[in-house]
Amino acid sequence: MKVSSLIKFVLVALVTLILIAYFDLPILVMIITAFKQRADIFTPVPKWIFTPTLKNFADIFAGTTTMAEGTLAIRNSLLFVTISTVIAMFIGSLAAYGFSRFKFFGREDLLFFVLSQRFMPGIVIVLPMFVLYSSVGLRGTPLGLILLYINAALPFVIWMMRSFFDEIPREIDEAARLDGHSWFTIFIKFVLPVARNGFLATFLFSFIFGWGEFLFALILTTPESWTMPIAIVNSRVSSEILWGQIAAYGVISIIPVFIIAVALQKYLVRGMTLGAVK
Amino acid sequence: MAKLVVENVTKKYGPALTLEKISFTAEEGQITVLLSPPNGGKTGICKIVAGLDEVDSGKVYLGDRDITNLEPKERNVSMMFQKLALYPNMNVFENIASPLKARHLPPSEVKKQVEAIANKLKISHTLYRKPGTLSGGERQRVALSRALVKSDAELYILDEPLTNLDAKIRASMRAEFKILQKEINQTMLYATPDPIEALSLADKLIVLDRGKIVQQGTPEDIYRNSVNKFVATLVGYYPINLIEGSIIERGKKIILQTDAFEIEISKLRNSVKDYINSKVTLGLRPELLNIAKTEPKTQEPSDLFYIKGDVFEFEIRGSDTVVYVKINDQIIRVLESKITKYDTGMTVWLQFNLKDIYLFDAASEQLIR
Repeated sequence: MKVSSLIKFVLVALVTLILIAYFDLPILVMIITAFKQRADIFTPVPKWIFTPTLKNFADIFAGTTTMAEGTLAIRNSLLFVTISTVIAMFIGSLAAYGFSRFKFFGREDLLFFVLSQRFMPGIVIVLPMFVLYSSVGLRGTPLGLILLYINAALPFVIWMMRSFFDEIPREIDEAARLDGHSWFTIFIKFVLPVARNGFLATFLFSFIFGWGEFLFALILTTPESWTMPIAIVNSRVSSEILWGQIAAYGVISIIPVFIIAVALQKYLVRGMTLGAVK
Repeated sequence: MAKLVVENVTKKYGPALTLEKISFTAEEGQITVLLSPPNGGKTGICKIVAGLDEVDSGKVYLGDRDITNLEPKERNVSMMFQKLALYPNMNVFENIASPLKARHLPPSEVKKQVEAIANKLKISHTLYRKPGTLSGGERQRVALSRALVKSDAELYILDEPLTNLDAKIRASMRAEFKILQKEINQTMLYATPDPIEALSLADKLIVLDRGKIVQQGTPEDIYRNSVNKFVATLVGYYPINLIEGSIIERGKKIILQTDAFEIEISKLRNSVKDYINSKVTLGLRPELLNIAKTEPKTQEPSDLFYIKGDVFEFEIRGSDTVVYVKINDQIIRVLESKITKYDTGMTVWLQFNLKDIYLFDAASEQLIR
């Protein structure tokens, strides 16, 4: 290896290391903290060598110190986000297919209206939503949060899926129509499988969005319907903030997203580069 | 199988293309070919007949049924697409089986029919592969199989089925297709931009230009009696020679005068009498021209013309020779169906018959005779 290429290699490696450290150190600290005992967490100089413990995780699952009951928040998050994402993907994909394939009066206006749902910062509508949900009895109910997450994911799903459908030649639909299939069969069996990559990428993005959503969950849930982000915030007792437990919650909350992201990695890249390459 | 009747169909396809009052009949058991350059309206007509596009006005009949407003699946037609439109997520078997599955045939029956058509089109070895792994010719056959597997369809629509193939495979597929058509003996509507395909396959030929039918008839008729310059240029094996000129009267003779040569066309007096002193275009088909290497002995007035020129260039194309003859700066293509060698610059005599010339009005481009 020549000296110049060696220098280049070292520089690239260095920059890569710095970038990894920048993005991953906080996560590393969180993971380490999750396995520390209380005394090790509060040392003036961060302690890198310590006796690991699973107590923080055990506390969460036993529900000893939080206001919420043990694993309830984990279950809530998984349930609400999965249900709302699946429903939003179903409705949104169908709508996107319609937008992609049928010409009708006001199509572009309607699409713009759909997108405009995302223009407003959430904080602007969170109070009206609180009043609304309280008056119709949806506040603190699973249904309330699921409806809200469906609504929040829909514009994104519709726009993403429409651009994926637009890339699929119309002749595929037309051939299937001539074969004698119904529109719904064409959508499910002929078009959706071809848009699979886009579908999975959209699913993942929607899931991550719902999984990390904080604002509406904070305002519209009660301890029984807390999701993970809310449970983390509430991991405190009157005397202190339970850092170990917060870190343990953080670790748990990363796991599903991490698994899905690794499983869908190749589709994710496809989703992010959409439109970049024709 | 059934007769297809298209009556006064009009449809606007945006600023570039409008189908205008399209009327034609595709006879039962025959192959009717739509021929036009790209964007001539072929695909539009195919889609309207298939039910994929709605008409603005006009009627479409299949047999005794008015199918103008029926859904594609209610029409009982089958179509092969120019872009093939194979389902990329399904293997070849599932692709071909799709029309059968839509009719809920029992799996054993589906299997039997798919295998039969795959055998006929020689793609049995690809049945369990995805379309993405096939060669261009194989994909074409899969798409054709999918269209033909619906054996009770009353009409088969084939939109440029051979266009995306390379020249060699296209020629062999064309021949196979002709045999296949004889075998299955169904009503077919066949769109193509390729005049050779059109001439060799058609029972009836319909020539379109920018959304309008310019001529329809048998291939021989259209080749012999092209109604205008566009048709004459489009329908032929090699591009027709077009030479600008004018018709003049000299004494009692009527002369066609071009920059390159003059010929007497007094015998055509009846056809050309309204065009004396106006500009015309002379059309000479390369395959109807001959070359003499020695000067013809007699130049008595006859229907045969001999024009002196010299060989500018020649190409031997397998068994044919294309000779470019230069006459006063005008270059004329001649196709000889044999191999002949020339010396560049050698003097030759171009020979053609009065009955083989085309005369077009230079302004309207319509055939004069």
